[in-house]
Parts: sequence; structure tokens; C-alpha cells
Amino acid sequence: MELYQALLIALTAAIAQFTFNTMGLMLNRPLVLAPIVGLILGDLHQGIIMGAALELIFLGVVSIGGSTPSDANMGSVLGTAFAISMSKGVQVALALSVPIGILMQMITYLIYFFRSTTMDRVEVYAERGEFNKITMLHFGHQLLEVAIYGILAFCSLQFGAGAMKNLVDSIPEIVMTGLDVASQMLPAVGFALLMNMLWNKQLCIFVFFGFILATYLELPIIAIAGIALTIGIVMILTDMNMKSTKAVNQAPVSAEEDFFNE
Amino acid sequence: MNKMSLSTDEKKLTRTLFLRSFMLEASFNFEKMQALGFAWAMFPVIKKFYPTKEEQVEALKRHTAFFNITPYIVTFLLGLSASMEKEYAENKSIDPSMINAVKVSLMGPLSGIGDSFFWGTFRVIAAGVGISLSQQGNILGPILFLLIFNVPHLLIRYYCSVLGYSLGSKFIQSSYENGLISHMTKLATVIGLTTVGAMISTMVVFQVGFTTKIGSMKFVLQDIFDQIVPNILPLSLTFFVFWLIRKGVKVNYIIIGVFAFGLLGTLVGIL
Repeated sequence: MELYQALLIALTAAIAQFTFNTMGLMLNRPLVLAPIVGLILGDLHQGIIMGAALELIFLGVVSIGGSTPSDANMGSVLGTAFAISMSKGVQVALALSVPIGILMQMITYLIYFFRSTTMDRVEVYAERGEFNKITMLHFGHQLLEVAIYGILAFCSLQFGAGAMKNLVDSIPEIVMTGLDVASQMLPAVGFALLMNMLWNKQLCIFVFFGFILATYLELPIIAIAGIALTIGIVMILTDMNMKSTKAVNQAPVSAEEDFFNE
Repeated sequence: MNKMSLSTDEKKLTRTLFLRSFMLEASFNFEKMQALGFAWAMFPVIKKFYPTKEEQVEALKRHTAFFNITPYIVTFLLGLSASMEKEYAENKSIDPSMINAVKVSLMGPLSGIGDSFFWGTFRVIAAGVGISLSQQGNILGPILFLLIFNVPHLLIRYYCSVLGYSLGSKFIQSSYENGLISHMTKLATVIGLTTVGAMISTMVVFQVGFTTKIGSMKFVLQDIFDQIVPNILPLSLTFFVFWLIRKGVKVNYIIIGVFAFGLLGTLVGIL
């Protein structure tokens, strides 16, 4: 890997982290980042394919209330960069990205912790009506995180590549196959996390509904979402009808209580 | 519902709120989470409606309190807070403590809707389309992924600021009463769970490689599973992981466990 490539990749990671924290445009996802890294290293095609595999693994990694198990951005950028620069396949990218992502998440937690220690200043600034100082603190924290991110990415690429290559080369073939098998099973964790987030006992049957539509009818995902949307709307209309009939028949208070208990 | 037509000045204000909402998580932290981001977005509102320093300080203190929500729909609460600040500044007809009370009471339910729609539905559908194209090496994969997610995202983010501002706090009462919030949550949950179910079938690969000979018959275990229910193993694995998560097992331990299982299974020859 050339110096300018390492710089460009680190810059990509830093910018992606900035957009993740601020705009939320999904530019920090493996599906987007891996092709960019691939392009920088001269193998766009491999980048796209690695992006698909990594996205499957990191799909369930969502930030809800500040808790995220793994950092998708750093994991996929470094995983893809190392794998492509060593001319290795998807399984190397996967095997590297998961531990890197977990490590980076710990560093991010340290940053969040450090920020927390500055929050008592905010109360002082607010008391004095110092708008500018709040703005500076707000953006200073962001700048610091993005800088740490870029520097870590660059140092790992520039100084860690040799050690990483020795490590990967020493892995026997059968273990690589095993990693491949494991990485194809890993999306189950992502989907389980999503299910956990959406879980509702009365509605869990829809997991099986979607499973059947995909397994037996082999419908594309947009068609399945459309069918679910239709059924969801019908359910809501039925609810509303039932509620208005109930409201006529009995005291409105009890009907409403019923309604919100679901 | 109230009228939705805003004056030019108010349109400008909601647009500012929309643009400033993008910086919500710039200083995310464990103590106040998105408080600074919310306050920073409210700066123009505070400066616009309160001429004196004392009033500005009061408003600033209100909005630097703990805050956390699905970022994509924060504009709704920004618009709503702006309309309440305006109401208080002009008529003093509401109790200022109500402004934070409304914010705090809406964070949870709105995040419930936001998380299900954005994380559970839009992102899963966008990723589903993107992944299947990218797997074939098609550059449209990442592009469609970004479009499918961001077109609804940006439209909703923008219109939420207008909606929050024009509906005002009265809206909250009525939306709880007519059940709008629970309807939206239900709709998002139905779509989200269905698409997750579909993607378990198409995107989790878990097959057993166990074969043996019984007499002259070749016995392939995977064929038996395929005859009962295809992809029953990915489904079972996902529900097993789900059960572990519900039991409170740390996600990173599960990931390590899956890795170890895949590795050992391959070494032993059952996978």
C-alpha cells in the first residue's frame, strides 16, 4: 500500500465518521465504504463484494441510546483495506473487521466518557448566556473525534500492515474455510438484534410470514415490504373500526385503556 | 388539526432547524447525550424570540438538559419546542416548565417510532436491495442503498420540522387520544419483522455437511432439512441468538461464540 493510498483511506474513514455523527446519511456503512476503499486500492469490484459481506454482519449493529456493540466504519475500512492490499478474499476482510470494530467501539466509548466530564462546563456557559462557547465545545468534541479516527486509521494502515500480513499468512487453509463458514452464519446475530429491537409478542408471527414469503415464494424484498405495508394498514383500519364501535357501546375510558395496553 | 400554512419568516425558521438538526450528535456523550446538539439547533429560536439576556439564559438552560432521540426525527421536537418558545415569549400563556416536560415525555415514544421505521424498516429494505446487487459486484448496490434510505429520510426530516412547528403542543394530546403514535409503531413493527423474517431466509447461510452411508444408501443430513423446511437452520440459529440476547448475554460474546462454532464445526467436519 502506497503512502497516498493510506492517507486517502484514513481520510475516507474520518469523513465517514463525521457524516455518521452528524448527518446520518448511512455513508459510514460497509456497503458504501468497502467499494470506496476498493477504488482507492484499484480493485473496485472486490470492494463491492466485500461491502455486501460486511454489511450482512454489521446489519444489526445499530446505535440505540448510545450503545453499539461494534464500530462498523473502522472495522470495514481497515478490514477491506488489509484484505485487498494482501490480495486476500472476503473471509480475511470479515475475520479482521469484527475484532477491529469491537476495539474501535471501546475507544469511542472512552471519547464519550471524556466528553461527559466536560458537561458541567455547559451549565456554567448556559448560566452566563455564552452561546459561542457552547458552539465551540459542541464542534470541538466532534473535531477531536474525527481527528482521532483519521489518525488511528492511518497509523494502523501505515505501521500495522506488515504485522497483519504475517498474521494472516500464518493462518492455515482449513481455518480460513472455517472463518468463511462462521462469517456466513454471523448475519444471524444482526437479525436477532433487529428482532430484539422490534419485538412485540402479538406481532412476532410476521417474522415467520416474511420467512415463508422469501423461502417458498422467493419474492424480492421490496415486494415483501409492500405486502407487509398493506397488511399493516388493514390491521390499523380494523383497530380504528373496533375502537369506534367500542366507544359507542361502552364507556370511552375503558376502551382507551384497552387500546394502549397492547 | 391546526392550519399548516406558515409565513415566509416561519418557513425560514423551520429550514434553519432542519439544517441545524444534522449536527445533533456532534458532541454525543454519556451524560447529556444529544443535549448540546439540541441546544445548538435552538440558538436561532432563542435569539429570535427573546431579546433580553435573562430570558435567553432561561431558554438556554431549558434546552441544554439531557436529551436523546432517534436523530432522523429530532426536527419534530425542534419545531414543536420552537412553537412553544414562541407561544411563551409572545403570550406567556404556557408554563415554561411544560416545554421540557413535553420534550422529555415525547423522546421515548417518538424514538420508538423512529427506531422501528429508520433502523428496522428503511435501513433493512435498503440494505436488502443493496446487498443483493453488491453480491454480484454491481456498483448500483451502494448507490441504491443510499437512495432508498436517504430519500425518505431527508423528506421526513424536513417535513417533521414543519409539522412540529405548525401542529404545536395541542397535537400531542390529540395524537395520544386518537392513537396515532401506537398505530405508527404497530405499522413499523409489522413491516420490520416481516422484512427481517425474509432476510433471515435469504441472507443467513447455515448448512450441515454431515454425510454417511447406511448400507448402500447415501445419507445427506442437509437434504433432510431441505425437505422438511428449507432454511430451517438459519431460522433456528437466529432465534437461538435472539433467545441469548433476551437472556442478557453480551452481543460480543455471541459473535465470538458463532465464530468459534463455525471454526470448530469446520475442523470437525460437521459444517
